[in-house]
Amino acid sequence: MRKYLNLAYKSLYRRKIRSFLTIGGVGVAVAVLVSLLGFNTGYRKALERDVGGMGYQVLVTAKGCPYELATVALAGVGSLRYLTDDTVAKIKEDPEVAEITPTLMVPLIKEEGTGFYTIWGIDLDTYSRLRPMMKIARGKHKEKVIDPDTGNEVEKEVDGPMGGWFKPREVKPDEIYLKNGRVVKGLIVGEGEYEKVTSRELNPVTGEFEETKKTFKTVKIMLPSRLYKKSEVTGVGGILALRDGTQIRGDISPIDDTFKAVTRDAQGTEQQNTYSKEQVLRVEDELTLKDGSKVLGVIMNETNEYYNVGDIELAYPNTEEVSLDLVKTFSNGKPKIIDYYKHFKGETEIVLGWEAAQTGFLQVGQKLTLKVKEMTKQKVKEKIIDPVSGKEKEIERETEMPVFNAYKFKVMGILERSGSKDDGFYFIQLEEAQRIFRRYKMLTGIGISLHDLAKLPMFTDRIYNRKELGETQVISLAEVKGTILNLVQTAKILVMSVAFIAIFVSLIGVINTILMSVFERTQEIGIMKAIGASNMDIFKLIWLETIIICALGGIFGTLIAIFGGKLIEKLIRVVMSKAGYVPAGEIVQFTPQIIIGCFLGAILLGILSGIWPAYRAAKMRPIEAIRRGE
Amino acid sequence: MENHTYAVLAEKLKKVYHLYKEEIVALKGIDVTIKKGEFVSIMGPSGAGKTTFLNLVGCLDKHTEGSLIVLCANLASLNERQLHNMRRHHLGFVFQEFFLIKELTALENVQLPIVFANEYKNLPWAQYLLERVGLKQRMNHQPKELSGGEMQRVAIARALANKPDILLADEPTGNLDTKNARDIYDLLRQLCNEEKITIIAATHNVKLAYLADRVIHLREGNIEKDELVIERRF
Ligand SMILES: Nc1ncnc2c1ncn2[C@@H]1O[C@H](COP(=O)(O)OP(=O)(O)O)[C@@H](O)[C@H]1O
Ligand SMILES: [Mg+2]
Repeated sequence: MRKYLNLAYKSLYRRKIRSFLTIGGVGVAVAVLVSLLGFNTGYRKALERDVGGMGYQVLVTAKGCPYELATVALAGVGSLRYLTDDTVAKIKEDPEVAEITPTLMVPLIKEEGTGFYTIWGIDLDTYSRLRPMMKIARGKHKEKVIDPDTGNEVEKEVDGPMGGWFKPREVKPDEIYLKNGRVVKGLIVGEGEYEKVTSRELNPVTGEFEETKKTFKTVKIMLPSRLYKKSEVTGVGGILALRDGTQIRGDISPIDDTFKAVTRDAQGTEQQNTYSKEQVLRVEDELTLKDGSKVLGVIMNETNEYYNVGDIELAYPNTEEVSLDLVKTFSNGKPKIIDYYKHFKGETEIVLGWEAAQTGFLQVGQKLTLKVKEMTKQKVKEKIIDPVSGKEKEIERETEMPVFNAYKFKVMGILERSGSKDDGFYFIQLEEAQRIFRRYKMLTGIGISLHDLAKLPMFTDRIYNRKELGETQVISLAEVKGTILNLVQTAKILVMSVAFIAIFVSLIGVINTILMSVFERTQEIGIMKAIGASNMDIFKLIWLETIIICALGGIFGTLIAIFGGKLIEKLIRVVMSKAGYVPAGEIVQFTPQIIIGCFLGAILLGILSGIWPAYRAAKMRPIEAIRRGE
Repeated sequence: MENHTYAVLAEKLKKVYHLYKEEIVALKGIDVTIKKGEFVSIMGPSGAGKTTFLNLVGCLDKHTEGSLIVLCANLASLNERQLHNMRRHHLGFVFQEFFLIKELTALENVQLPIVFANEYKNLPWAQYLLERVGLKQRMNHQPKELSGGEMQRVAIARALANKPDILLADEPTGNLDTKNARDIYDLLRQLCNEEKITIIAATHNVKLAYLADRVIHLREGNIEKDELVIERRF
């Protein structure tokens, strides 16, 4: 072949523009193909990483569309459905369950509306056993610490772990089992005693009643609540949640069996409404803090310094004194009194994924405020001019109102970079998540690992047959991967066919270019034959030209693909994020196999498309060729 | 008749072209014998059949009737490969229009037949040939940088690259002025004398034709006259 190289090159060079255009055509086709294949491997790897990084093999969620669930499982976006947290204990009964961890995923719309903060409420104990790969990052970094002398926050350079996980709960509610069978759950915040008259007898001497008193020891029980410094609180209001889903914010006051709500609209004009008990689902207090965050709950008591806000579901009755005589056992063995004020400051511990920390420039020890937009339904009254009567009329309209809210956290730790979706997430303790986001007893998913994955079908059947679990869905992550890959496959087939059309078109382009040049060179080919070129010589020459075009096209296309890869990646991300789940990390990856494969493919294209023009050229009769050129 | 002393032996050589439904008889059954080492001019007006004859001898085309033996080979019985072999090793062709390959230099043009024949060891021969035709200084020039006479010299050198036995020249001076034409003929004469190459050159130029050893006059596909040049008239 070497002997034709000079000639082939020169004849291609003679038709520069046409040759370059054809090379460009082949290049584009190859670029499309290379990118697609690169996407295929990259995406698969990224997905593998995301799914493999889940740590658990099975996910139980509330029933929904499988793809949506898959998306929720991997990306944390989608319309959520909830399980109740008693499901965990029920599923745990199944003998096949090795580990089980409840999770609550809360997507928060960013204040600017440009995306989500995805918060995961996790149960650290079980979660870290299922996902040991989630580690606190290490390295040189800066931390915010409180200077013990001055009490001021200072920045300190540290080499070592970047913080840590949430502090283990030092205080867990006690369960106090009474002799009469009742269970009181709460925090023991103090001891007390009271005297009780056990008997009253008439003293015949004094003629007075004599009381026998006995002192009973008691424990003071308080349910979990939070303290908010009054200096931080800028406003106290109320929130009335109606059964129809609307919320009324304002001053709420109960009057007999109704609730009076005084609300203010944006202009500050007051409206007053009364709602019957039947309409009202929940009444809560709402504290507005300096930083804009809002706290919902019940103000249980207030001191000069603090408001003590309890969770509505837990706060009744908020305190109880139980006589020790009545107590059968304490869950802790003996009453342990905790310093309530020390432990329940209004701050939630948070651990950040690597990217979440990077993008927010966040350091360990620092306060983090996530400003979010939450949509609530509100009823507003409006005055309009009735078009019929021409009189002013008042109507009630339901609107979706954004409520801007801010959640306060304290950064406890930063996680090691995993290359998966986890990097962008925020982790807090499950109870905290349920409390601050008002998702009482709610879970979005339960991660499970089985003793024997092969028994998954039986396990699934058992779960589905237990009606008391409600509408649940058992998804194996292998299935999730399958579902997503299937979906991507469909898209890929579509794009692949585009690629193949591009290749086909470029094939025709190549054939056309070479055939044209063959016809233009009819005479030259005749001459070459007259001076001793064999049919095979001519065939090889033309063939070589085609292969050169395609090989150059292949190189060109691969270069475009590699250098344009970042761009293609961005494009795919935009398109795919509309569809739901996009894995983290590089989703377009070029392996040597792809590049070599596509290059060889381009040469094969040359070999194939060259055959016909080369054959045509070789078959030319010398004399006719010479003549035709005249 | 001893075949090997003859370069060309044609008997009742006939060539019929088919043009649409028309039959054009370009050669009407001519008998020609050309000895090895002879320098023969084919004379005749346009359309007489000169080119046709050269193409037949040059294995570029096939005759219709009669027999044509070139260098002991009966062309009628040769297949494509054998015909190509004849062209490659035994015949050299020079055209009126030179037909050099535009992108290649003079030297590369001359080397081309050697390259096609895979006889790389003979590549230096191309240089010798260019020197031989007087173009030592022009070797690396492209055809567009050469004059007509120079181009034809390159073409002659190229035709000689594979050391052919017969050099066929179809009106080699048709595109040249008198001076250059004469030079080319002198070159052919020299080659014939020194390299012992049989030369068959078509021309309608009387003066040039008689520079050969023998002049065959063709007219309308017949041989009108076949004369040996005893004494150079010019
Ligand atoms: N390929 C062809 N097809 C049809 N007719 C042809 C072809 N080649 C030559 N002829 C005809 O044959 C005759 C002889 O042509 P040619 O050998 O080219 O003459 P010359 O070279 O002497 O001018 C002419 O009448 C010409 O028109
Ligand atoms: Mg002619």
